[in-house]
Amino acid sequence: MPNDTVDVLIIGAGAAGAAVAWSLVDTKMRVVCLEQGEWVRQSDYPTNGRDWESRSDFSAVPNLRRRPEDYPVDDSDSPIKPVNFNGVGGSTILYMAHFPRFHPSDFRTRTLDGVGEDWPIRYQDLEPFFAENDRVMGVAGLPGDPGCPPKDGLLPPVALGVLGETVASGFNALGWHWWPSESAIATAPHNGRDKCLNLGPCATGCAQGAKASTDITYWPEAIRRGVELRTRCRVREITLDERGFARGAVYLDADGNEHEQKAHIVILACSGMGTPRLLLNSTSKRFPNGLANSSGLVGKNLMLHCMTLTSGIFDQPLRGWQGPIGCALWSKEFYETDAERGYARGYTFEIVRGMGPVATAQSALARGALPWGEKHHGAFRSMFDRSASIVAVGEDLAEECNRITLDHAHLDSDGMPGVRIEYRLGENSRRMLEHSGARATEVLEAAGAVTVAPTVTSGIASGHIMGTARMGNDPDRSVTNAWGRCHDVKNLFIADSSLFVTSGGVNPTSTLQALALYVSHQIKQRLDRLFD
Amino acid sequence: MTQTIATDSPFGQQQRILLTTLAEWMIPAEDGLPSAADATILEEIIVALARQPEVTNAGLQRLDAIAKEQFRSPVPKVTSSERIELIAALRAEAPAFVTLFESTVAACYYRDDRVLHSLDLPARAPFPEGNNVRPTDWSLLDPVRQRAPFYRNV
Repeated sequence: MPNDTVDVLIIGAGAAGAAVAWSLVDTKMRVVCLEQGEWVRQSDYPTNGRDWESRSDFSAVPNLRRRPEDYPVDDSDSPIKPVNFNGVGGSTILYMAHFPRFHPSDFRTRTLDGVGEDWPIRYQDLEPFFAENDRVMGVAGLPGDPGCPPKDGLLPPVALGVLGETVASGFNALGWHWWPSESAIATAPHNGRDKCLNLGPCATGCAQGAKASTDITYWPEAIRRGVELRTRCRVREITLDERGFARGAVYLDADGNEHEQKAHIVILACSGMGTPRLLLNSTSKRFPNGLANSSGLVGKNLMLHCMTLTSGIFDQPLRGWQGPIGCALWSKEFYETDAERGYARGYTFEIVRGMGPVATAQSALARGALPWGEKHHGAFRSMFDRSASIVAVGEDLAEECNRITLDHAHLDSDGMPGVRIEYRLGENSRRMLEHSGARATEVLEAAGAVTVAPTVTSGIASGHIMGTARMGNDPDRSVTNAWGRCHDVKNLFIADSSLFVTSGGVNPTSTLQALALYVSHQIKQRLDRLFD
Repeated sequence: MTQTIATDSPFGQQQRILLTTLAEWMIPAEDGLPSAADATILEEIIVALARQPEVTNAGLQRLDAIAKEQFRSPVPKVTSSERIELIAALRAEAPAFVTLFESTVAACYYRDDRVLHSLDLPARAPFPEGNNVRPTDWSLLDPVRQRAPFYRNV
């Protein structure tokens, strides 16, 4: 009886959906999750083969990947390019596993700095769920970071390698903060996963299974304890009953057959891009502009993080192609607001290890830095294994003009509209980008870089898609209440980064998973009055 | 005589000559290193480009035409100084092809065993062997450890 009414229907099996499913098994309710993608086999990841740098089927760019479960993303009107992965595990399949938490101040930007909005919850509300999530995912790091709230239970930190140590020496020379990154990587055996082998390119999937993607962390236990996960089920719309409650979801299976799965509770966990897409595609007489959209804010307030990439060339090998590419060290030196810098809020510096030979050559050719002919070999040798990069992840202040809309001109393989991104960098972001590029250049020069390339500020990919169905106490200014329940539909919940009120200046996965566990906890605590 | 060789390749002999010439121009041989026109590498390049035959054939047609129009010469016969002008013109007139060609040549050349060995890199997939990263001496953090907490605890 696959389509009988179930207690809980979760849509999306990624970072958030997996955490919610895992959490709700305590209730003994019947929980079903619909996922538009498939399970991924570790043996399919590119690092199993010699062509590991050249495969496009694990590209984070959906328009390049073009799997049947992907949907078109028109990002031509955005300097930041959204990336994702659709499948069990969602974007944790391809993320770099850099795993910082939001800072306490990120939840109070209006009160502290007069910008953005305060969240309806505080860091302290999420703290137990951060810790629970860390236990399940397995997080490597070093306790004692003066730039962040204390935490314990960390696995040994990821080794810095020559590249990380070199850049760290630059921070030390300037007297600036740095610390080994917290990383969702098993640096020691953890919950049945073996330890990291330093394969390098975490961003195309971890063949070793040391990186914490939710297909190998949350899902195995959730399924063992009774959650039903159905793959290749693409939800087209959320349906309503005559009371205005969510009745369930209409979805298409792998063969294109249409079904309706009814449920007492529906939880959206489709990402900051997929959740507004589904809400906007679920129109009715009651909600002609999209489900749960009486505020008009579904899809708006999109935040992608403003980012810079600054690269330096050193005169010695850095062995940068070894080790987790996105996880070495971070700096919180410029995270908190300092009015003298000319902008509000701040950013994290994250060090990116070097690329393999193919990616080094391709990126240099693309920017015209690697000549043809007799000078080719010398130029390549001068850059390969000699490059270190600093990425600044800057807080992106929410603006309603930055938004996701449906793209009826580009349909997915089931005929559902794709998404269109409209996004611009605000003035505060521009000033922050300028500051971060100049400071990153100082770090690289202090670390001994022979040359530092001009900072890149446009065309950078971001899987940090936030804010498109924000939470809040005011139904006119938010889509859900303070625990993820839609103001307009009392049995419809959102549990992903769409809920974010601010973006912070860090990668969002740790925080969105803690938030998913928080929403799930709230549901469990209120089961006897959930729809009041 | 047909221009199609005995494979499923969408490229005929003329196209293969042009691809060979371009690959040689892009990455020539040096000090024991093969050129990108080395037979083993070139075959991989051709197989990869065959996945996008329209862009490739259009680019090669344009290359041939530019050489004849501007230099009154077949591509392999242009002089080394003309070569620079020819590639610049091709880059301007067939940018999609040049991007594809450069990316493909890089992908095939820099995974060749001989090239990887010359770079002191293992000629194998990363998994399952992995890599050794030296342990970190965390005394490097001593200056940072002396700092008081500076996040805003609100």
